[in-house]
Amino acid sequence: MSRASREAIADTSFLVDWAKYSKRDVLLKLFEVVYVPESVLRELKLPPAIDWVADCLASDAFALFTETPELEEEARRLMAMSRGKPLKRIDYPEAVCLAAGLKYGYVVLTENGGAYFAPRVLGLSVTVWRAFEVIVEAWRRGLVESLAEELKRYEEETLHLFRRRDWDYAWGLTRS
Amino acid sequence: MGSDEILEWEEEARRLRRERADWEFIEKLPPKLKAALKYYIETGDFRVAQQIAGLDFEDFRELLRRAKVPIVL
Repeated sequence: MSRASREAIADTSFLVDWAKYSKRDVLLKLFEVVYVPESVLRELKLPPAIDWVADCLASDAFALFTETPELEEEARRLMAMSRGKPLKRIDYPEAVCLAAGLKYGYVVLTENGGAYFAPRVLGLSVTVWRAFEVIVEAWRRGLVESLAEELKRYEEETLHLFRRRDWDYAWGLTRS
Repeated sequence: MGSDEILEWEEEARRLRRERADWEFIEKLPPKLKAALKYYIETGDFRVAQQIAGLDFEDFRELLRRAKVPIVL
């Protein structure tokens, strides 16, 4: 994970939940910029997500990402590829993030199952992180103290649950 | 990642959604919202469930929170 790009692109599912996390600003220390597609911004309407994203756009920590016709075409190709595969289908806003990640090398931030599994199932060369990977990376860089406490805090504040396999991975990291 | 691993992940996620959901709350909802939540609990497909509910993304996410249905990924 440490070799990932310093630029990311986030979808709605990631931003809506991450904005509820009390240590949400660690994201701004991990990436030089986080792009927010116009199609994602259109879906945000409630605090805390809309307020936090607006603040981050104002401070240039986030940047608006405008979809080009070529990128939209690539996004629709990815959506078509996902149908008939053993994963949740990819929908438009998530597909835009994957297409941008493929084209520009951005880390894709998502909590969408289809988008998360797409690189492995569809063989895409793109890095996709959930909140889990973001928190692990923040811990590796010393931005949070206790990995287990932060994962638990994220679960409680956002009503997420990490999988048993993720917890096993986290325990393995902290013991090594 | 093979199909088996994805199926295992799906099954664990479905079990957690079923176990944690506030079924009493869900059963009292209007039919459209109840159907959408039940669909989400069984499939984890947020976008289709959102369409069944006829809600915007964030409104459906809030409904999941009120129904204590976790996101498992």
